[in-house]
Amino acid sequence: MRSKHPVRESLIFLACVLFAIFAAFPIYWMINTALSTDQELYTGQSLWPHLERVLDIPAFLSGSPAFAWLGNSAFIAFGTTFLSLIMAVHGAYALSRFKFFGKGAVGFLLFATQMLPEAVIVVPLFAVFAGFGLLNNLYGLVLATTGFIMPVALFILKGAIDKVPFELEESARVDGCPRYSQLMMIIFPLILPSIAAAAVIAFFDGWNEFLFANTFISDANHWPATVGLASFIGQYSTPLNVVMAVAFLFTLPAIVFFLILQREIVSGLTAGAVKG
Amino acid sequence: MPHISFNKVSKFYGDREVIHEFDAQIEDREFLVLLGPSGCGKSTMLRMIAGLSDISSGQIAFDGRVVNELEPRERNIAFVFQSYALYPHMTVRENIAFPLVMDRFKGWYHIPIVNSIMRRSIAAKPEVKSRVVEVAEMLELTDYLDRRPRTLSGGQRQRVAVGRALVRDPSLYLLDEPLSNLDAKLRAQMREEISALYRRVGKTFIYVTHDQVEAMTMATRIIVLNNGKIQQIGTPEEIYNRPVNIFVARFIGSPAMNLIPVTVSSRTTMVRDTTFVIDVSPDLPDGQYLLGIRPEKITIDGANSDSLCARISVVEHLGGESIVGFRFADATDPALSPSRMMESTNYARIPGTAALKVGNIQKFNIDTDSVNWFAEDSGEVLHPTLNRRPC
Repeated sequence: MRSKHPVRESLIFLACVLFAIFAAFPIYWMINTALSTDQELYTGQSLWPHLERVLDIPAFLSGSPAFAWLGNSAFIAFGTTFLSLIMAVHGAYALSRFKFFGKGAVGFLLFATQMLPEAVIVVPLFAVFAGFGLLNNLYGLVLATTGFIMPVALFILKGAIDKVPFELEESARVDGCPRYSQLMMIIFPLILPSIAAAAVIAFFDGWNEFLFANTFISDANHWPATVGLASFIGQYSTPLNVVMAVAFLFTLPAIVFFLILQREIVSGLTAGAVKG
Repeated sequence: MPHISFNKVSKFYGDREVIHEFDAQIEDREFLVLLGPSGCGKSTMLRMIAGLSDISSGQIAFDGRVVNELEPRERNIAFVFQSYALYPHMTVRENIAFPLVMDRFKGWYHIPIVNSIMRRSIAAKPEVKSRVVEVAEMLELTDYLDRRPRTLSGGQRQRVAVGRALVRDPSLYLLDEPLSNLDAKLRAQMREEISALYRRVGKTFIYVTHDQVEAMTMATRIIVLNNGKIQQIGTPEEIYNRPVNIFVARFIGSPAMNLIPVTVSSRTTMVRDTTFVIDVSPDLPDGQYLLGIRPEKITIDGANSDSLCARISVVEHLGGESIVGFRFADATDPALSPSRMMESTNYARIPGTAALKVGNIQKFNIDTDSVNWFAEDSGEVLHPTLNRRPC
């Protein structure tokens, strides 16, 4: 079917292409730099990346702790996601469905965690972690990150649970379904899109964790990739191609995780927008 | 098969009393309708019977056993919600099977992830599958078993909700305004289907509605509620023909019962300044009363000594019958304000399409056997001996 406004649509399409190029350029430049030699970096990179060198990256990074750092980042990201979601689902259900003394205060305190910049509590948290033996420990980092991101996930899920009609739980109750199973068998499947959205937020928070890791982890073997990447920046030289190669590898799992959950997230963001 | 007894059951939300000392008995295999206007407490009452709401005071007993503290599951009931409350992520088959699956769930099956596996495993058992198919056939849902609720029409969703209630063969069915989300035609069809279902399963039904047509057509007995208090308990005929107070008289019937202010003096009845010959009990003291008469008990044929003159204010032809509005006040006081005139409008239901003109004075006859007398101050019906005509 021919468009009624071909010029306008062409201009919109062109604008979209320009925005896409603008957004994708840093990624392109990262890949291009990662696939360039030291000499090319100084003499001028070719505009077309040497994609044939992709397979050389593992050998190129062998001996460097990059893969161990990526493993540490993955541990923190998945740990944060898992712990945040478990706590957030239960907390959100309680805040959505129960009446209890101090409910308003609990909601406020959870919200208050978002008012404090992480940098403000890094020193007191360091003292606490030192006392509990959680320094140089990835579990400690998971706890610290969860403390900040769990309330965000909780409020996302509370909003989703609020929209689930309570008659569904009452109906399940009449059918003989106990309270906890009402949450797991009835509510949980209905809020999956919001859980996916919360999971992505928690995952990226853990994956991009830098401040706590830089402060609490002194052992290079326990660094996540963020801190490891930062360590490449030297006083006299910075191996840009190595940094970009590690950065490229660092980006891949996050993209894959997002793509897996993308469909759920999109429906989660639009759920409830239309009465149906 | 429970005999249900209510002993001064009350419900408070904070300081607000929404059910006031509800005392009633429900016999086995009754189709009881809790009828009342919105906010009268009828749904709250049903939820207390189901165990979904706590009882503030009093007792509910099934066959003499107090069930106040029992979980809904332990009361062997089924509940059909106004919104149907179908599980959106389950197919029709899974929805109907859910109560049977829960019956067969052991404690450890409720562990997350295990519950999902066991739910599917139990639903696949031959006895569960065959029972679901049996119920689906009864409700003509066989073709929709593998569809999700969102793909069904309102009537089909309603049937799935009923199917889920039926599948476990409970002894008591509780239905909370199940037809209110349907259009008028479908509502009439589902009314018949629920009545047929009641006759087929032969169990006790308690049905909440604000729709008097549903109550009158389906109930074996009706409890009329207002402001959390029982107004009247009786068969549909009793409720319709012998209302105990002007609330019931006005709530049941469309148009509602006419309540005509009259003066009785020396066994003579006066409507405004017109003497109206109607036999009253010799024990009825002189005074002001409200004379209650159903619209279909008023005729316009001929003119005799009990005729009342009134001015016709509205004529609605409904095809097989006509609704004629008339005002006594208007006949004598044409300067009356419109709102005051509306208050005093009475209605007659006349068979056929009567050739009446708005504004004309017309003589109306009252079937004096069908008159109900109400005290003007309290609105309560007079004692039967006073209410009866002398023989």
